[in-house]
Amino acid sequence: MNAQAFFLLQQLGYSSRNEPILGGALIFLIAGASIGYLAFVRKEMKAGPVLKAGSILLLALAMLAYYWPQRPWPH
Amino acid sequence: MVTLTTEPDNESLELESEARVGGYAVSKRSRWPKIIAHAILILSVFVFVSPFIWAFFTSLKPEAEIFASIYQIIPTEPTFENYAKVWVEQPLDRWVMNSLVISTGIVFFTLLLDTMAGYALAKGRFRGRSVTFTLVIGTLVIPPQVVLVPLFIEMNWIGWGNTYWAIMVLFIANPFGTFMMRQFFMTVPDSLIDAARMDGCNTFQIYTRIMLPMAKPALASLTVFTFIFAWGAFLWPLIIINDGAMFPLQVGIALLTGPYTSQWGQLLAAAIMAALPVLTAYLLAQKTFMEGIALSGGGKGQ
Repeated sequence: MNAQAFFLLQQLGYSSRNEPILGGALIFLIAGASIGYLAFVRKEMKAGPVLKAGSILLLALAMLAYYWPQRPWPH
Repeated sequence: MVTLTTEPDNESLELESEARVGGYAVSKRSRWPKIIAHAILILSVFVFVSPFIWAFFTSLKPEAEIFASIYQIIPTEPTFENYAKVWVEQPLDRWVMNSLVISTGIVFFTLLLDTMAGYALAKGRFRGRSVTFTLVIGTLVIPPQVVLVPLFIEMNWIGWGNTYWAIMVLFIANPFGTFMMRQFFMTVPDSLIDAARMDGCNTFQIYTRIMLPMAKPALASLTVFTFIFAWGAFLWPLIIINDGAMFPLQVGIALLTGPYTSQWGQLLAAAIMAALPVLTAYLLAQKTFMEGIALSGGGKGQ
């Protein structure tokens, strides 16, 4: 089980040329969702525009990493 | 009845007029030390800023003009050709994305772990707290180069060689952040925690609902610190990554220099582009950055 988990993480952590950056998408998604939760749901954080815009930017980066443009390589 | 006069004599009037020059309380005697101090500061700024200015102007020169004359710093015909070329000919977009992935991951997980650890070390009551804190601080004095080879072997042993996780995991365990957050949480009065506990909060709820909102300034400082550090990371990614598609920006730029020939204009253009996010982060959060330095150095210790 542990070996499988490590294998999965390894797969997620590596993306070759012209491949979607799945690990990056995962990181941006976790960070964006967490900050978005703090910014939009938890009122005690009294989040300013930077925190709110930051969470949206991170979610946009998650989309960009998932749909990474297939740029020819080498250029 | 005695009347007190408040009219100043001529001498005091002269001194007062000197004192109000420029809105500052400056007398003739204290002017020279200030002038000397400012001269030293301006010279220091010039020493530190001039390489950046040289790099920027050189990146605007055509390749043939770069080493034509050492005295011609400002280009005669400035061009953005190097910026366009390095973007088109090198996979700069992918390297920027890799750097963003790594920096975001490091910042997010550092904040998560360091706030938890700092809270536990500041407000937790458990056996071995001071020993744990001493061990955390002790890791600050170990030079990172010492552990590079064991870490390289360890990462390859668990199959994380050439992955984002291998780069991030080293920087996430950040003793400086733990120390900084602990110093901040030490300043929070215990009465707040007691009040929250009386209202029915458990330890985790106190952390999320009371401590985290209060720690926003410290979190902002740590974010800027960690981002700047993670964005500039070079040695560990250079060692653990061996695929050009996985390089962070700093490693990619360094490897633009070849053994026989180097495109210095493109290299400097890439370096200027690499410095932009850090400069922007610093300029946007300059006040926060300064507060963070004061916080990490001036907090209450135990």
